[in-house]
Amino acid sequence: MLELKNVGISYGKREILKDVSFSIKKKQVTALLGKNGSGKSSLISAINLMIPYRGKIQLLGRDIKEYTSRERASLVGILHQNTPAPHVTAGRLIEYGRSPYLSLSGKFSERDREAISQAIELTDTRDLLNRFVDTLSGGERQKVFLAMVISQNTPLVILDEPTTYMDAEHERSFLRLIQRLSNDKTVLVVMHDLTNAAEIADNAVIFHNNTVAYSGNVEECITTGTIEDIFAVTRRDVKRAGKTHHIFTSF
Amino acid sequence: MNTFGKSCIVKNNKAILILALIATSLMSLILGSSQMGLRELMSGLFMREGFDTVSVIIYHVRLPRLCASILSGIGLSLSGVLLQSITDNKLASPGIIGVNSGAGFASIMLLYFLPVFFYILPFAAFAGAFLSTLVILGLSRLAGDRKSTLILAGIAMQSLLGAGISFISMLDSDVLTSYNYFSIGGFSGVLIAELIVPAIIIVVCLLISLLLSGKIELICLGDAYASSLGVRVKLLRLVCVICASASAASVVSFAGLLGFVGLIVPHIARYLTKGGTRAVVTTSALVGSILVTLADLLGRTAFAPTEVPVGIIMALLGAPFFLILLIGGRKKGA
Repeated sequence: MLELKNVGISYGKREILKDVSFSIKKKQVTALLGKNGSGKSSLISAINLMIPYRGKIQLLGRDIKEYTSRERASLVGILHQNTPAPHVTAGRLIEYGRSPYLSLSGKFSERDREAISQAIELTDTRDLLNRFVDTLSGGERQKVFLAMVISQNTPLVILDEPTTYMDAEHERSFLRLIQRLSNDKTVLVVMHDLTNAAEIADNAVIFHNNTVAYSGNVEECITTGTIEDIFAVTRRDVKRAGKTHHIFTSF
Repeated sequence: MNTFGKSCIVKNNKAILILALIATSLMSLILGSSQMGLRELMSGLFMREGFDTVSVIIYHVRLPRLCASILSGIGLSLSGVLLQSITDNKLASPGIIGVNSGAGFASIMLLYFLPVFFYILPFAAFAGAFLSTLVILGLSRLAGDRKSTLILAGIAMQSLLGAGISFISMLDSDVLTSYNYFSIGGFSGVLIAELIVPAIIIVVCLLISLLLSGKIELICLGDAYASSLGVRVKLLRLVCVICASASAASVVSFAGLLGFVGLIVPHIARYLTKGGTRAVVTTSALVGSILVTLADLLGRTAFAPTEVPVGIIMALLGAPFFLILLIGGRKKGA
């Protein structure tokens, strides 16, 4: 679905990422992990063509720069780390997700309405539709922005630290939603919480020392101790309902 | 409220505004130092024979002024909507970010150094406005690209251009006299012929803005979201800056420096429509036309036979509104 070959990003003389190569598989959740400042969000900005990069980023086998802006927006939906607070209703914001498909007249087709409606149902945001986004709490805002990204109906969804502003309850339902999304979409999710990553991801890509330290199956990187080594954490395994849950805590 | 209800309100508002514009236009044609009735107006407009004096007043004085008022309202408010949208700053306007003074500076430079080329004044104003906006956007980016830096860079640029204008005015008393009138802004002595090029530019900018309104609206989400929703942000900003500068500069070329229209009208329009950018653009065009026409009418009739230039009336209305915005914004932020 998405393949990176020797990608490098620099801000002036400061090198953020070098020789980053990995690929993510279709209809799976891949967690992108790394410490603060390891270049995760910079990589998302590069995929969004907001910052220059070296190397090659391929989407569905084609260089991402070869797509038009609209084509790219119909293939990749991104929930960014910082959610703004515009003075528009949540309903209007969710409709923005259909922008890449609209003609100049701006009229919605039946398909657009269906995608918007599905996104609202999936994210359970119907009660928020008439409220202005700048009056919503951080967690609610994150939900309506996710609804906007889902209404974009792209095969690849990138979520940059989506649960930052959420309490434990909202976080759990959000993580379940991410898992449901992977039924018909490929999901790349930037995460800080290793326990949550172990819970929902099929694969993991770990950034360390400005490059990829691990890329592959998430279970494998947990059992081999890679996560513990890189993040200096300890692991505790808990069995519940026949399933093993990995809980990571700092020293 | 459902979509149907909302669209009814928007359509009703538009219908009321169109009726208000027609009424204001008729009043602007009828009222003045030489009073006439509606019948005389119609006769003067459509049957010139036997109504020579009335026809002359209508076709050579009042109709050009009305067209100038409407064009100014559309051009400046469009410029304000575009600048406020692309900078996501509700205090951005052609005056505040230096479009007017850029155009003014270029115009006065032309009048002083190359007076024989006075006929290219609209183009000089356009170039001055556009370059001034580009410099301010560039300076703002260098200073950190925050909302406040744009305003501060605009103020600095305005001061600089203002100093240049004052300096040139000092060197030549004739230029100073022309500039005094130019800086206040007004439509006295405006000719239909000099409105044709600005009208074409403003209409083209309006059409481009309407076509791009869906994309312009996404800028309120920030560059990252706009880009991931398929907007070529830098290109869109450039097109909007060109349209904002061109439409404001076109107005400056025949009306001088009219302040506050570009600042207040988009806010009134947003209050009236609650809709997207397309609705704000069309409503701003209507509200701007009505306000400037009313201000011009007020300036011509309130203190007759003395005429108060429309720029003074607009500033009298606009300054208190600007202060209310500032105080309201502070309370909201507190």
